[in-house]
Amino acid sequence: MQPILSTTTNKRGSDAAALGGCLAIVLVIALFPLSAAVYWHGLLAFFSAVTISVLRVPAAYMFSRGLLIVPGLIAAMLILPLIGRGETVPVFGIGISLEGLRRGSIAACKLLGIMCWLSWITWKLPPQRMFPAMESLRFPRWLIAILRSTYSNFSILSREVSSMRQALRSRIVHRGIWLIQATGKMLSLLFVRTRVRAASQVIACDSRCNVDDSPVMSATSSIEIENVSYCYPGASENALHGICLEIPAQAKVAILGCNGAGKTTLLLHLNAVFPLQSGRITIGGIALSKSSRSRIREEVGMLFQNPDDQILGLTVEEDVAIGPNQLRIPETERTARIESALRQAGLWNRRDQPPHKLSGGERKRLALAGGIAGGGRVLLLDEPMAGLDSPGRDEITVILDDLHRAGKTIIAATHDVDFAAEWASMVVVMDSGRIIAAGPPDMLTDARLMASAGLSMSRLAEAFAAFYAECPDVEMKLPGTRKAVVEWLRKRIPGEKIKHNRRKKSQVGEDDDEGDSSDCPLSQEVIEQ
Amino acid sequence: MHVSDGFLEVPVIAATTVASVGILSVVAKRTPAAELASPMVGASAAFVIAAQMVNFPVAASVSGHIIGGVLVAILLGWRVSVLVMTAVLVIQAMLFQDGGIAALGANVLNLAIVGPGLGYLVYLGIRGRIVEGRERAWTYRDSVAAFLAGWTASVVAALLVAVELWLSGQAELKIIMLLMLSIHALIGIAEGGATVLIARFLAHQQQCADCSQVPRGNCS
Repeated sequence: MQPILSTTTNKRGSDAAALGGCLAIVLVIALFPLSAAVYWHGLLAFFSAVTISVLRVPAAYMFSRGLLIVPGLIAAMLILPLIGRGETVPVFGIGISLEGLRRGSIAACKLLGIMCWLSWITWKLPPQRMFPAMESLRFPRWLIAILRSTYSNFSILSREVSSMRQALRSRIVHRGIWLIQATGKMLSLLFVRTRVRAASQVIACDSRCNVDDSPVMSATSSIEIENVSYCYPGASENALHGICLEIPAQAKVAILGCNGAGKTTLLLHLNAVFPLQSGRITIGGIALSKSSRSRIREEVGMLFQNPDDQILGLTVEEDVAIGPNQLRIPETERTARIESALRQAGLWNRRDQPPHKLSGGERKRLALAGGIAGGGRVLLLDEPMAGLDSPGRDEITVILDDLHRAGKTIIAATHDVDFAAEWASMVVVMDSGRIIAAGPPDMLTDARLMASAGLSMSRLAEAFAAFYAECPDVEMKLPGTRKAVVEWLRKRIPGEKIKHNRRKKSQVGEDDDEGDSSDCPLSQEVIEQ
Repeated sequence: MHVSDGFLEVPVIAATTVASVGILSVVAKRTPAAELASPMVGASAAFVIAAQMVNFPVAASVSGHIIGGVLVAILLGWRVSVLVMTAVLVIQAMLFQDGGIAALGANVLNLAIVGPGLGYLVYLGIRGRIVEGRERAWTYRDSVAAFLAGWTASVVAALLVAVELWLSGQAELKIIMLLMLSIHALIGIAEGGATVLIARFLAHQQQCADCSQVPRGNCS
């Protein structure tokens, strides 16, 4: 995994020198013999403090680091003199060991000196530069890999811990034993989440990192799925039952279904994460098998439901580079690809930031940028709109439309019917592991179909259904999208009336809607519904 | 519990570093590469650091946090716990200055290798053997085993620290032992209690087969 993740930065050499030098000085201070006189140690601490102030580490940062060594200083200055050997001097009736006092002072000097240098290095090298520097210094690879993963997980977990603590405080009224039990449960749940997250990371890493360079497949990237079934290990029932589906190239497909309908399982099959248990999947003319797995992954990018699962880099740019770095393409093309993906996702200005500093919407776009930079012609999205506010959703929709215009096939699993109705060119409805309907988005206005999948119709279609319910003699064709509603209204309201209303509106003012529609009973009724 | 720089003499630092590096390299070599770099290790290390941020109320206005080494050993095995705790200690030393840089070897030996190792042995000894693949509910005996494991890990680590400080000539063995043991016998109770609380709750959660094979969301 290492060579994929590491990016070449110009500063890497100087970072490594800084880290190596700092560690060497720290070791000198730490290993300076305890038998040496106190003033030598004091001199070392003084020298460190002066050097650090010349290197201009911010005072506030130094202070926060200084707080960290307070317990150590207390142990050195209070406990060592009390328990030390040798002759003792009574102070307020307590015997203070002179040797203990000497050793305590030495320990305090060392703590202060080392604190200065560690403050400098942690201030100078944020983790995204620290780890490459450690690599250059030949730290054991396994240790760096573990540290990297610890760091990125920690930033996610610490966010979770703080929100869980707030929730705990709001739920636990009584203190005492309740609080202890609840804290224990909270930690346990944190561990469960950690495990689930690690399992998702294995899958995401598998789908993002095991790509090898190979010739591009046939020109069209249509997808054929024949009779695919899947059963999770240890589960009693199939998660997918004989799925058959044909997706034309450059389609915008929405897979709709409730939670647990099998949408994600199907997507993970298309990305070759799950082995085929039965049936056949062909993407761009290549049948999915163990040997064709990496070729398929090169063609198919995936956005996981939780972007934290798939973000592996220490900076935004490094994360987007993971896909292109695995392909044997010229350096210039690689950087161009990374840049265009970052610009497309609107993250170019934030490329040096660590991913955990981004907002939820930005992390989602970062994951999308990773998929774009991979250069595949098929993009799988698992709940792309989950947890986004409406500007965030609009941003994603704009990016998706751009990608579609650029010729990509986009498949999104979602339970958001409004999004599917507006965006998709083809809709697949799933229920308990089966496809119950596939076709144009019009069919989302079929109340019976939607009810059988446990979904509701789009809001617009629902409003029209309620309207039609009052006048059963009218023809029952429900418009389900904004465009269809506009068409519908245009057909029913005579052209002159619309013109007349527009004129009136410009006279009355934009905000006065009521006066507008007073002479147009039909639209009034629609609004009321 | 973490030993800072400036408390140990050079020969003690050298001996503990050699012992730690030796044991770590054997563990790293014995662990399959896929397991070594698996997100599980990093995620668990992050969990330990995050869990240490959560303070347990012990008594009136006094609180402590778990060390977690023995907990990880009970949940994921000793070998993984050694790697996890090493990562935790490195990060604590570099970022939080909790434990020294030169004294890292000593800290790894105390808190990542010997402490959790002996604690885990105690756990295995009391709990007894488990037949592979058979579902088994958490019993009273498991609770006792986990509690004593947590307590042992805490006390053994404290003992080692005391010996290292004595070898460095900081104080008489008797005084330092008394000090460290009396404090950590109490801290060990909190550690053991937290270990039981968490391990027991997780055992109840484990009903849902093997979490590592479920893609997401279905376990919590």
